[in-house]
Amino acid sequence: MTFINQVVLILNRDLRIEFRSKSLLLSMVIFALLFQVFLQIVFDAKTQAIQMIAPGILWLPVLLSAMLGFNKYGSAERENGALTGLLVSPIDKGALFLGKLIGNYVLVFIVIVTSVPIFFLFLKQPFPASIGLLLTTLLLGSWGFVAIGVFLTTLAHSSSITELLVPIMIFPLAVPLFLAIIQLTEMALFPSLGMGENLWILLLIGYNLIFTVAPTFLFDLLLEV
Amino acid sequence: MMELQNINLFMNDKNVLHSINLQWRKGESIALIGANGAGKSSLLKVLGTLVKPNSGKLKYPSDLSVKEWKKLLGIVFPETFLYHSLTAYENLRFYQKLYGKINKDRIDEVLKQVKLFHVKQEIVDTYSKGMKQRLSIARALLHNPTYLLLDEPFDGLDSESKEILKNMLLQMRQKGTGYILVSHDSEQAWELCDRAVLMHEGRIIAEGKCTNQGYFPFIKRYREIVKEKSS
Amino acid sequence: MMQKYLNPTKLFLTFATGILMVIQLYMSLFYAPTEKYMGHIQRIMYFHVPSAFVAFAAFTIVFIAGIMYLYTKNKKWDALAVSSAEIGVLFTTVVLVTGSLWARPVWNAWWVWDDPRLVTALILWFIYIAYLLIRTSVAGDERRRKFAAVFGIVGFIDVPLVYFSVKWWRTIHPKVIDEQGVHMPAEMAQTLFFSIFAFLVLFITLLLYRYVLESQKENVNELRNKYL
Repeated sequence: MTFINQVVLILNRDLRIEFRSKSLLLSMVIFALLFQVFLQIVFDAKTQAIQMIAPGILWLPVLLSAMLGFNKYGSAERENGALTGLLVSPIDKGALFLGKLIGNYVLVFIVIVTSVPIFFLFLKQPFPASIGLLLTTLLLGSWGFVAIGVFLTTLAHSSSITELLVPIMIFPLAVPLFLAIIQLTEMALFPSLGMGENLWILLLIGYNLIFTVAPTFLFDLLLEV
Repeated sequence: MMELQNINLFMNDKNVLHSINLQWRKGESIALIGANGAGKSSLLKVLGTLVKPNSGKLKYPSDLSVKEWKKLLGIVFPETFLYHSLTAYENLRFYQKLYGKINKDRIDEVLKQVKLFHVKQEIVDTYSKGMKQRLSIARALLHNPTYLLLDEPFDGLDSESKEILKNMLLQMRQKGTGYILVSHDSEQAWELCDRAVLMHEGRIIAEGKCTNQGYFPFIKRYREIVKEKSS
Repeated sequence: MMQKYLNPTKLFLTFATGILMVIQLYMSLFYAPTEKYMGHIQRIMYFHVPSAFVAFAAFTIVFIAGIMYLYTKNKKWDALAVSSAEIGVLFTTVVLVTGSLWARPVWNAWWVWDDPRLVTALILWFIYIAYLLIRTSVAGDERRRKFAAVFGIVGFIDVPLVYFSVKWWRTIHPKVIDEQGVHMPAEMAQTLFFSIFAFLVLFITLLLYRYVLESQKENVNELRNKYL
């Protein structure tokens, strides 16, 4: 079976399970919306003040809701020894990683689709200066965060570590990513001189490549017993 | 032939396998006998490439790679490896794809063998324990493995299902599929196998051919050896 | 073979470190001239900068030992990596604390977000704290080692990314504080370089002691496995 087929197989399995119960997806979406509203209430300041923190308010609900996903997505695999079933099978562990990454990304994407419009609904300044840049940032930024999250959780291989350690591991590693997405979002939301835009996008792409390509190719070696 | 050479394994600072040497010929069925904690399950884990021994060597049949060895291997462990929110059919289809091409007829065939064909579209969560165990066996046999690892496969089965499984094993034996069987019912294991291997505290202490009259003398000898060791 | 030279080496290094540190103290407190504007507070530099060098050296060793462990699966590399990571975290703490002490009177703030080096040091500290946490909480020897090795490698690769992203972040915004060009008198430079040298020797000594402790722990474990 080819690598791509294996990726699709894992993706298919996880999404089938997640969409059957929908509990994870729903709680991710609801959490993001709730947190969005919560942040708007907490920072309900003058328009100028909200301008300064707008990128943070846009991203925080998405990122934290993605964190919820890392813990619970694919948790069926940790029950009834299903993971053992995978480990004794001839599957490529890189495909396992990539399949989970794409599946997680689908969920986070749904969160973005619901949470970001709500953000604009509350924001007094309805139109972003550059929709294209905003979309690029949203897609690339969430991919990077999901990639590093899935990388760490797949590597951890166990629920207790995932719940405790992944948040501690992920945030320091994701600092460059955060800086890039916050900068880019600010440029996208408000009219600016467009300074350094390409530099940040480049950083984002580089970061995504490192945390997507390297695990895909190295996981099989790393997890081989 | 699968061969273990001088395998040592430590787990949580405990020596669970102690210079194990074992030859498993193609098509040979071996009964693994021993008390709880004798290292039977650990030995199966080493064979299933789930744990890496701290020392010693695994020689795969005809110098296959680990990946190719995994393809030949079928595994029934106390855990079922099943996804409870998927249907029986979806579970089997997943595992079939994992090992190669999809073949619907084969899925139906195994499901009929374990008498689950009529409930194949139902969610596994609604199954009884025995049904899950039977589905787990179907899952292990799906890709026609040539080597089978069976850790207490009779657990949780009613007498009828036990009979079914027993017949399946005998059939496979004729077709040339080898298996290693761990069962607390050592007399039954004796009946189903060519060779018996006795484990005690991480070591193989005796081996014997499973002949018709040989069971009780073998067990008697085992008790004596254990007594000797502990005194 | 190695065993034979171990104790003399330890002894020699300990003495050498002791002497070097005394000289370092003398030089930084008395030999180096007092800085014109900052006054005595500037002397913190002789502890701050060497500590940063040590931390960087330590994390480089974690990185290299991680790669070597994954490549060879030899526990010795892993033992070296933990030992080095612990010392690295210790010296990063020193860097952060001395930096803050210096910044309070000079920059009028304990902490500023504008200097990429500061932010990088802080993130570095968090990364390797996480590294040490992994080591205490992942079950299974081999898995813990592998996990830690991978994290050590990824963390190290992440450091330049953090540095440059913070740098770009701040160059796009107006700078609050300009980097000061350092034109040091010769005595200051001598003291600084000597301090770096002394601290690196201190690091090697600590690393050796910590590494020997770690391997002895391993040996005890192995003996216990064998005979108990």
